[in-house]
Amino acid sequence: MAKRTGTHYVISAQLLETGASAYLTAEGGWSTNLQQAATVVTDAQRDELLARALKQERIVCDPYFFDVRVEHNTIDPLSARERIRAFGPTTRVRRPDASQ
Amino acid sequence: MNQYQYDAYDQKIVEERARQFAGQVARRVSGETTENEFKPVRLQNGLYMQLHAYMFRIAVPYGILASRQLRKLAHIARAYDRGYGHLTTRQNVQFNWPKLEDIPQALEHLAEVQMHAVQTSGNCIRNITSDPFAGVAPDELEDPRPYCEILRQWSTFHPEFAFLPRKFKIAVTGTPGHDRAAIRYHDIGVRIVNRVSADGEAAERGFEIWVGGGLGRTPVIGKPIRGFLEYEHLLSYLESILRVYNLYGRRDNKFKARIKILVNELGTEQFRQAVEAEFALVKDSALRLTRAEYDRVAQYFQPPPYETFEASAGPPGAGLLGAELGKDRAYARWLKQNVLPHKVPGYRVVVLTRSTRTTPRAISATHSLTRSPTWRTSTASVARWSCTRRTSC
Repeated sequence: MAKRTGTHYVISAQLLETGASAYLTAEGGWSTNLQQAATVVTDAQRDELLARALKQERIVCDPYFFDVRVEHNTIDPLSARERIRAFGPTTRVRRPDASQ
Repeated sequence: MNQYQYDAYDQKIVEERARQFAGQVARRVSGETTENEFKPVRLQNGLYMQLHAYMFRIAVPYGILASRQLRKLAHIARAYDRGYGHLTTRQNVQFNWPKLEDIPQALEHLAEVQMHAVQTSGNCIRNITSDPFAGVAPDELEDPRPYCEILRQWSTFHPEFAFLPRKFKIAVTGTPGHDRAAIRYHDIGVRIVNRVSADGEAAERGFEIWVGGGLGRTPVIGKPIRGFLEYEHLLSYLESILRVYNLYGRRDNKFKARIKILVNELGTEQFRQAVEAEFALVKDSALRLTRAEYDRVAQYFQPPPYETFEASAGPPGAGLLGAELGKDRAYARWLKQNVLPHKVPGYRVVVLTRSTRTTPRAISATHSLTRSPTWRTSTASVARWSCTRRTSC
């Protein structure tokens, strides 16, 4: 896959326990906050991170990578799908519970 | 209770399913099995992985829920989800925020009230749906629910159709003039019809069969492939359709794998000929539906003991309606849209929405459902719904 100029890679998956979106961090753990994700530039770095993620199948399901742009220390997904996974609007909204 | 009741075999199956899934989840969590190994098992129990969370889909055969079942769904929503669920177009219930480890317990709760999530996902025959007014519609030739139940029993764990090219949806209606079950938008649509017999006197009961309808990214209106099918051949004819689809349906591209694509590519006539050829081989097999079997199932759908009202009168309070209409236009509007004729004189079908200002359209606040007397219909505490939300299910 050709690397697009100015973009980085992030490794993502879904947590086994809840199915929530998660991102591989620089420490090798998982965070549901995209801004805490490890970002890499080269394909070799990406493949190494992905291999590390694939060994954590007890924690996450189906790890994969996607492209992001990093500007002013902010990680911004390039695809609409990943933006929705990361920022919603459907993800963090808890609808009012009629019982409350 | 006009609802099918599980026998000992049915009950054992759903209880064992819950226990089996508990073991399968434990092995996945411990790392004994991989996600690739676990995924087919998860899907066979109605558990999807969606964009933000798991989604758990529960079958409600032909859209009928007893109040004890609705209360159990409300309990599952409160205990294992966010206090609400979705009622889907195809008469399922979905929970969108469950945790994996809670699902086996939710399945146990469902088994307690004769419910399950079997075949609510995967490339198999899904929940059989019907007219939400089945059994009470005045324009109905015959109650379609016994046929739905017979189809449910035939299709559940059918070994030949566990791995079809794609998911497969069947709907049945007993009303010739009003397609409330949307049979023309299903893989197979079944409509109960009458045919005048050869001697021109008695009307013979049977089915009109439609095939290859669907919505999604390629909406298609189904095609009629048999104008009249004798009632005893219902299972053998549907089995023939499924066999043709299973044999010739595409498996190389999931977007081209539905039966609507096959019917379109073969042409309706060629598809019909293939089905008829298969039908000739199986029509007199063990699939032949006997009157005794129909009667066994139909006994569960007997009408409740309706009260008798004078032709001009109605249930208590009905006389107030006319007086109220002129004063309250909103009430009159609601009445016009949501109160419909019933097959029994003096009764009415009432359509209720569970949407409120604080809960989105077609999302049910299950907490209030458990307390709302409006879901208890006059038909022995059985609730049913029609849903306008477009969800692929």
